[in-house]
This record gives sequence, C-alpha cells and structure tokens, in this order.
Amino acid sequence: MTRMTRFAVTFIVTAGGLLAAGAARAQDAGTTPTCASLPNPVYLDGSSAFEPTVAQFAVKLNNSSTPMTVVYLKPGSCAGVNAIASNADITGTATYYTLTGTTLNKLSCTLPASGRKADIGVSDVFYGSCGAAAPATQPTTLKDFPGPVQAMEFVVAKANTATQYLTAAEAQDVYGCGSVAGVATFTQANGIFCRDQNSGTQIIISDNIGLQPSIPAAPICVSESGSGPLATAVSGYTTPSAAIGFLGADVYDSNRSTLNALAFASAGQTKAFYADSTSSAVDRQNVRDGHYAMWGYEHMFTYVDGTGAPTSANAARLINLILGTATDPAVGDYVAIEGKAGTIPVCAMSVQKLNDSPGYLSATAAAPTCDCAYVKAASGTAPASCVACGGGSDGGADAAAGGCTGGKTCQHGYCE
Amino acid sequence: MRRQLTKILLVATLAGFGAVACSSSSNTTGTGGSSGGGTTGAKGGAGGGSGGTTGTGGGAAGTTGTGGAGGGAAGTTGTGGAGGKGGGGGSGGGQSAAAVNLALLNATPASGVTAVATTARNPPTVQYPTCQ
Repeated sequence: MTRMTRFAVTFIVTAGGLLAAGAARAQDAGTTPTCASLPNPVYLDGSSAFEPTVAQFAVKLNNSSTPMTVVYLKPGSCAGVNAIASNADITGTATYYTLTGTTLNKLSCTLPASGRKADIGVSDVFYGSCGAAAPATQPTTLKDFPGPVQAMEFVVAKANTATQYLTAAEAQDVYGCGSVAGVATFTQANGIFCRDQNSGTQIIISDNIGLQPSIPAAPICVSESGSGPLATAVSGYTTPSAAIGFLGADVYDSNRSTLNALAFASAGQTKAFYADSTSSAVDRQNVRDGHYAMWGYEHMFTYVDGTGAPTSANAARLINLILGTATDPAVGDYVAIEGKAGTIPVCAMSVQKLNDSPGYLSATAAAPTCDCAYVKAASGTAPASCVACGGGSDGGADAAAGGCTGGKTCQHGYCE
Repeated sequence: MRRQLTKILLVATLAGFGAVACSSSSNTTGTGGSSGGGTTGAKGGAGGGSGGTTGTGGGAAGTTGTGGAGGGAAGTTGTGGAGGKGGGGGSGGGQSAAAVNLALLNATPASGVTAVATTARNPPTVQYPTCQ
C-alpha cells in the first residue's frame, strides 16, 4: 500500500467515523440529522419484522473499512414492496443504528421532504402475496432476493401459562370471529391484537389459518402499527390471560421476558409444535425440519441490470452480506449474525416454500448446510453431534482447511 | 427366428436398463427418464424414475405383451407417467404437494422436541365463517 493510499484509507475511515459520531451527538442534543448526512447511506423500506436482523448487520457496517449506514423505514412489507415497485419516493422519519458497548441504539433521521427512492424493498412475503397493495405485475427489472427465514408466532402475555397451543382452526375462529368465538381465554375484544392486511406478518399468519389477510381487523381485533407496538400491547394488556397477538420470531426473542409463544398445529397436523424445539429453546428446530409451517423468507427487492446484478452498489453490498455471497471482516459470518438475531439462514433449512399460499412445504437439501453453526449462534451451544473444524467463519476457507471425515466439509467452523 | 427373438429381447432389455439408468436423477427440477419400449413380448421398461422435486415421471410403453410397469414416481410434487400400453397401468405419480406437506408436518419430530397434544380444550362457542 502506498503512502498516498494509506492516507486516503485513513482519511475515509476517520471521516466516516466522525460523521457517524457527529450524527449521534446531534441526536443527543435533540436534533434529528438528515439521513443523507450519514456516512454512505443505503435506504430500506418495508417489513418491521426483519429489523432485528438488519440492525445487527447495520452496526457492524458502521465500522467497516468502507462504512455504510443502513437507513430503515418500516411501513410494513407490502408498503415497502409497493414503494419500490412503483418507484415511489419515500419520506418521513427513518431509523438508523449504532452500538454503545453492547447496547443497540435505534436513532432517527429525516428523509428529504421531496422524498428519495428506496434501494431495497423488504418484505416478509412473496411479491404476489401483496395483491392489490402493489402493482399487479412485478417489474421485470425488480428482482426478489429471498433472504433468511422468519418464523411467525402467536404470542400471549407471560403471565398466561395456561394456554400453550393454538390450532389453525381455533386461530381462524379467533381472528375470523373475534372474542365471541370463546377460544381458550381469548374472550375480550380489546385483548385480541393484529396488524393490518399489508403486514407481512399478518399475511403469513392468515395464509396459515385459512383467512384472507383483510379479515383480522376491527372490530375483530385491535390493529397495531408494527411488531414493537404489538408486543407492548399484548404484554401490557390489563387482563393478561385474555391477550393474544402475533409477531415475527426475532421480535418475540427480544420480548421473551414479557411474552410466551404458543405451539401451533397446522390444518391436518396431529400435534402442535413450537417454532423452537421446546417453549424455552431458541433453535427453530421445528421450522427448519418442517413441523412448524408459519414462516416466510425475508425478501429483498431491488432493481437489477441485464446480468441480474443490483444497479445500486449499496443494495448489492448489503444483500450479498445477508445472503453470505460476500464477506466483510468487520461484519463477520452471516450465519452467526442471523442466528443470533432470530432469523434462519437458508443453509440451515431442510424444507422450502415456493409461495406463501398455500405455502406447502417440501424437502430441500441446501448444500453445504450450516446446521451446527446456526444452532450454536441461536442457542449458544452446538449440538453434541457437531464436530468443530477449521477455525474461521468463511465457508470457503474452512472447506479448504479440511479436517472433516465421512464426506463432510468444514462449514462455518463445523463439519457439515 | 431364434436369432431374431434374441435381438428383440436384447433391445427391449437395453431399453429398460436405459430407462432405469437415466431415471435415477434427483435434481430439483429434472424429469424422469422415459420408459423402456419393449416392442413385442418383453416387458416394457419400468417407467421413468424419480423426476426430482418438481419433475415428471416418464411413462412405460410396452406396445404389446405385458406392457410396462407404469409410470415411475414423479418426485415430490410432479406427475406420474402414464401406464404402459397393454400393461397394468402405472401406480400413479408421486405424492401431491399437499400430501408431501402433511407428511412433513406429521413426521416424527427431532429428539428433544416437545409435541403438544391439541385435544384438551373446549370447542369454540362459534366458528368461522358464520360466527354464529
């Protein structure tokens, strides 16, 4: 590296850091910075359920040798799909992320009054699931990059230990008829919480209980504007046993101290299963092997050129990091990030879906797999049957490191 | 005559083996191999093999004689091949997508998984869609 190059790199990193610090100080002082003033912003618009995972990538990208700031507007999945498919401008107050020690800070920034285009539309559901909420035909240059898997869960207040499961038929009665259905203890109209028909979480839930996504609405249920408000509403309801709602599993994970997830039985399923192997585990075992059907991919929509590559360099960079098709030393292993954040990298799934409705599961064999690294990241402990290898987190480098037998290769630190 | 019969048998046998050989793929979107085509006498090929996840099984097509054994399994969600002409018909295609889905949902869970029984609750007062 020449002296001039070293100087340039040092200047860019320092300037980026100063800009970020300056923005944080501005917010501390009560002024909301403009999003455009943040270092190298990439604009996301859509699902609130994907936020916990995206935020973990965001705080690492702040410290990359080429810093990038993730700016996230969360009007819901189909609003995000609609905005990017319509090439509409997004406006308002968005969120960006910093880290203080181990504390994640969600800070606000202001989008231009005249608006700007999103780089990535984020959705919990396939394009077609948005129906009339987005243009009827997906633009040919707008590509869907399906990312990690998000499980959706029915949640009740922590104090409600009597209700452990819900069947698809019961959930259909609760969210199709309301409190009058008298299912379990959900007998108060104000205690049944939902989102709206453009929410990816509500679409996935509705698809799995045989309802149109527009059915769960007032007066059947109380509509909340996002995953965070819904979690607060259920956990804070005055009669805890009567409260029920639904959330993305990664949001549930960060609210386990105040909420319980319910086991769910799909139509025709003889037993109910938690998304995880038990009510207290964090391993998404039943999602990954096909015993729990309420899930969807976190879809990232962005415009591409004739070769299928994103036209936005920042969109390409973030998508590739999330999919694990690119690496950045400051970011680290995508399997570990997604596992800790509550979503499931596709390499840890043994089932797949080709659509949200009917959303039938079929077997898949991702090659290579990453089950051991995923469970280690999600739960803190790899299964006893897993054999550590390599030492790095890069699949390719580990594979070259070898040390595995029985036809297995080293992937993300474990023989797979 | 005997030599001719031998040739026919050889062709039929090779065709059948060919079908088996080319039908063993398990790619995700592949198509099962075509069946063997016994012209006379000999049994047709065993039918297309697994067509992969979304593929289509090949049909068996013995023109005369015992006919083929039927279309092979068509993979997870595909369509079975037609039965062999003159034969007993195929055993049908692979499982439907709905059946595959249900089989996965009701498969034996992994070790350590809590399976919750769903029979310990009173029925709802009213049910969707009438809600009455």
